[in-house]
Amino acid sequence: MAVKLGNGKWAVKENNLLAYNDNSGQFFNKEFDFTRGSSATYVGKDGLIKTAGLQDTNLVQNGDFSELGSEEVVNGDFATDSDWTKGAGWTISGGAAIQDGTGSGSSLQQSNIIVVGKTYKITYEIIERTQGSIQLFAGYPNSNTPTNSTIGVHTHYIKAEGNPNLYLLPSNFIGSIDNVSVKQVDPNDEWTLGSGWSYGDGVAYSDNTQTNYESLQQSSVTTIGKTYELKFNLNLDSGVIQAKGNAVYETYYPADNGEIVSYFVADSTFFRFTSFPNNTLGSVTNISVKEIQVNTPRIDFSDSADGALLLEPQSTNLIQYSEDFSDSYWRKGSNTTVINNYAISPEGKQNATRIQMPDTSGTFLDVNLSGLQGNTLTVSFYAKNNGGVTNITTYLLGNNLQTISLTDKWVKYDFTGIADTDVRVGIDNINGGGAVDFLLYGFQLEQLPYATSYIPTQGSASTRIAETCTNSGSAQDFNSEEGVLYAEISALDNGGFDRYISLDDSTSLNYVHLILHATDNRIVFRVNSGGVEQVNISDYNFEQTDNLKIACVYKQHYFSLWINGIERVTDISGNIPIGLNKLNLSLFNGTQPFYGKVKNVQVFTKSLTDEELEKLTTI
Amino acid sequence: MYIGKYAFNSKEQAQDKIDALGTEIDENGNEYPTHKHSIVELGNIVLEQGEYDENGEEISAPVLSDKWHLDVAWRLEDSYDEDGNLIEADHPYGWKSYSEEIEGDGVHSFFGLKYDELKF
Repeated sequence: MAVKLGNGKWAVKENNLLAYNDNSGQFFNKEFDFTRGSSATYVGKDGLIKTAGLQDTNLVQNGDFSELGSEEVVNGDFATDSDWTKGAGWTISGGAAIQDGTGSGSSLQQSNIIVVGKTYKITYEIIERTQGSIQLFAGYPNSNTPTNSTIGVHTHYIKAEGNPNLYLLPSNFIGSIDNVSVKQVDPNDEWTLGSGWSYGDGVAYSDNTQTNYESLQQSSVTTIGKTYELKFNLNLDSGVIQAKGNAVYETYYPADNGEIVSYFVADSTFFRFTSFPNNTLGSVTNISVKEIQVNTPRIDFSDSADGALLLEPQSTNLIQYSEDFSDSYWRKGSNTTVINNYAISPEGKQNATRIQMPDTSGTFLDVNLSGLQGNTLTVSFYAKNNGGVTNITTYLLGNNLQTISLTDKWVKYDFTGIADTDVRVGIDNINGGGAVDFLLYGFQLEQLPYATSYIPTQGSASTRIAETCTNSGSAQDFNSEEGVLYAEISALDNGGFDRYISLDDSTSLNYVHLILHATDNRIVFRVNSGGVEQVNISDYNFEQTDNLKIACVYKQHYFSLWINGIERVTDISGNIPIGLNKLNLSLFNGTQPFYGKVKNVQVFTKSLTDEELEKLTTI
Repeated sequence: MYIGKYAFNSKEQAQDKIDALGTEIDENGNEYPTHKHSIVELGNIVLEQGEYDENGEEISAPVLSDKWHLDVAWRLEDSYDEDGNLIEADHPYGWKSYSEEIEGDGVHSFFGLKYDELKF
């Protein structure tokens, strides 16, 4: 019988990480409680950067406005001379409707095929034309009656007005038409359009005619209090638009045009874009609202195909625009060219930036930060060559320079150092080195001696909150008299502070502790019984950032620490702990958590043989 | 979860407030927090960016706030009294008078969370 976590068998949900008790092939859930509180990213199984807890379901229906209803026109290809009401000069023959020029103002009509108030995608083709034009009416009268006078397919999105009939009205037209089609846009009425809003070709459009605040709204999208990711494409010619529930989630301007990613906590069940009175001209499309379960553990696949539970401390990306290098926040030399959304990024999206710097002066891209002097900082970013020289120079933590070699694959580069008076970070092309042309994504600066997972920013520094994973199992799952606490783990840094894995009695009195110690290379096995320390043995031979397989064996007057296949230290004196009932990836109270990668944790309820321990811990 | 933004008179004053939330000393003599709140020390935030030449030399210095700024994600929940009345969580004792209310996130946010939606 053993409580097990990981080893390629992962299951996560909001607030929980699944561990289980393997009792001779019978499995019992033994979840860990998990907390973080903010979003976080990780590397998924496909190698792409993902947001933890981001649910797959797009809660917005018809977010790209592509849904069309069934065909409303009968005999739109004029295969037979039927179903149409022909005015003067119209004949149907040879698979087309022909107007001989005598019926100007006399329509070709099909009745009762549309519903007033609905919007339709209407297409037809002028296949021959000698003169004149055709005017299209989706109901009569209608305020939107487009006229066409060229050969080819004509497509219009029109809101039906007046009556339920379709009219093709010739004006001195001599020619023929074919392939008339009428389909309702948003046939399931997912969206409610306020005044001045209309559908276009895969977009919803605000025409700037509104005299009040008007909405493009969908009901029953969100749950009040839950966190969501909003994504959409904005193409605003002028003015301003807001994403809202009851209150404003975010306000956007033409400068924000492109794909927008934003996060909000819902204050209503509906979601809407709101146009301003006479101040919103433009369109939105590809609208996606997905729930983010912020307290979802991360299984990271950056190092192994089996994945590892990634537990990280709080960290802040001090760079305020980690992806938008065109923003004025980034200082750019006069000969530096920045092209946003140029290529696919490590996120798998078209949001990597192309940076071009010829072999001349004015070729730099950087940020200056103050107030960090003396702090240990780590810069990290993703880069990939795009046809320029492979060696580029980065500014690190002052005017210190570092040359990196780019490849034709995305690589995460990271550098750690002590901050100078002014911190200058970025990229420079030193004259004489050749022209630089590369792709850049995800620039991060952290006050840590190592890089953590990517924290995207869009206008402010951003903090990922620390994680805790605690409280698995109960008294019946553990044996206080003998057992093995085993873990396959690696730390984020060698030394720094204590990181605990604790099998305990929910107090500080009785425990078996596996500790990656604050001292470099030190691994500690410690046992307390009844509040009295019994065992405190250490090994100093392994870098904590390496992948380590560690087993702590405990039974009365026999305690042994195995690391990577070898018994490193033993202590043959000491009492066993009493009343073990919890497994925590921290101290019993959630403090001094384990930060690092956890591939596998197991608690065996009996001591193992040396052979078994060697096999268990061999890398 | 609530988010608070604070401007203290000095770094020392801010540190006193943080310490008052609870700390312990580990066996290595290192102090660690016993609370679960997430505190981000922004320090003397930049009110006006500095200017720098192509070599990174400062042309004009940034203008810094004379306050010591903190953002805190408080792990606090609303509660109910015995009559079922909602008691909204509030700033911990001694913090409220240094809180600042702003529009938007300002110079710092918590990843995926909005200050406007989670402020007291």
